Amino acid sequence: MKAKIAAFSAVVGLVIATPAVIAHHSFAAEFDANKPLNLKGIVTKIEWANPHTYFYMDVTGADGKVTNWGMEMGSPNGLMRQGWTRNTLHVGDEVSVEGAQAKDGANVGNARAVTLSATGKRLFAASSQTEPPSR
Amino acid sequence: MRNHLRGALLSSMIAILFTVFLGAGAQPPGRGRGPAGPPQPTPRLADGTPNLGRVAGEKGVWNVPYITNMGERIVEEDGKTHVEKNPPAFGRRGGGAPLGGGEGTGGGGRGGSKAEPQVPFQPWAAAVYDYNSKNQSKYDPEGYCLPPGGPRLMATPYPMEIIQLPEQKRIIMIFEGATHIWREIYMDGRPHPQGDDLNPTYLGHSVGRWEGETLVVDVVGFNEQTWVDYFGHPHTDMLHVVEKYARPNKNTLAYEATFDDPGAYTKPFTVRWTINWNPTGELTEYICQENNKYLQRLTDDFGQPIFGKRP
Repeated sequence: MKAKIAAFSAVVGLVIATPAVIAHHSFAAEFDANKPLNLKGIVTKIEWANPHTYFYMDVTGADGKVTNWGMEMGSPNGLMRQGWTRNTLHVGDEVSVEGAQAKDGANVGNARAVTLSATGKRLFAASSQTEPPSR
Repeated sequence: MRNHLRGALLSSMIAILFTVFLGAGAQPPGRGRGPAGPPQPTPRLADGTPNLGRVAGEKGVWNVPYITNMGERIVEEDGKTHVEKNPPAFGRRGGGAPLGGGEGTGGGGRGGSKAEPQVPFQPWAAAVYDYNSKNQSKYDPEGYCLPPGGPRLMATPYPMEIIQLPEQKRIIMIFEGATHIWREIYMDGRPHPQGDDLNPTYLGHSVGRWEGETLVVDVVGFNEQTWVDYFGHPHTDMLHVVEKYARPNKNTLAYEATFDDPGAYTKPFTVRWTINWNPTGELTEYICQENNKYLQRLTDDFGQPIFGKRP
């Protein structure tokens, strides 16, 4: 538990300190930092493209209903500086996403970090969100 | 559990200290991968002119910072900027304590013009700025993949290189981000074009000269399609910018720019910040226009789609 909290705190520090944020459009105009997302699901589609890479995932709710979410990340150049490649994610992979939901309540989010279930590897998503939602 | 909480608190403190260290201007070159030790001297060209770019045989790019609000970077009457007087707080990036009370997200306080007495707004410019604050920069041209104009080139956080061509009497700046653009600075002593020969453009017409150790660049001929910064300070095509670039050591580019825009502001003002050298960096491709879904999702003040139908 202690180790987990310590690791989490260190990660929070890193998220804030990582200078490679990519600023393309207004985060606040499209997303709501007060609607944090923590989703786990199966990747259904990947768009490795500028100015934002998107991937889509099927999330199964408590009621068994499956919802498809679109997640915005940074651009390929920003993601590659964070350790990604175009083959980091594959359709069918299970992932956990931390981010913020679209202001209009659509099933669209801005991902700050993505963890691959198979490896446990946590990757920062070159998000345009410059502050953690809990500030 | 109490011990756990204490452990969590301690590790959070460590994270905070780590963050403050990185954020307080003590940022090491190359995102922490650079060489430790005292600053290396200013690199120079064969004739002794400061070299604002790479040293032969080495990599390196300028890590342009994310300056969202140039109001925080204005040199005030006491000779300091808001950020210099209010060092960055925990959790904020690219600025000091937010101006105007910290309402809003994704870039700090959006108090509008009333919170920025150091900005010499004309009334209409204050009103436009307040509108851009209220809608949280929703209509920022950079969100449409249009380029930054003027000093915002040095505030949009993608790497940049400066390539001096003294034998050709010109300097080229290339920008990875904000639409993959370049800029040419004429060093041959030519004047700006006059009258209709000066065609308004996003980046304007730049002529430069060396004043000792400082490159001074005079820019006119801006169009009105860009914002001064992400927060949305406006400008007109009367804008005249004078930029100063100096490299006091290998890892630092000291940047200063004076805005003189009698169309939007009652008097000139000067902004400044520093840009760090990343000794291992190289430019990569970034074509913003490829798949800009922001445009597809963008709605106007009445909730109607601005560009086509929603996906």
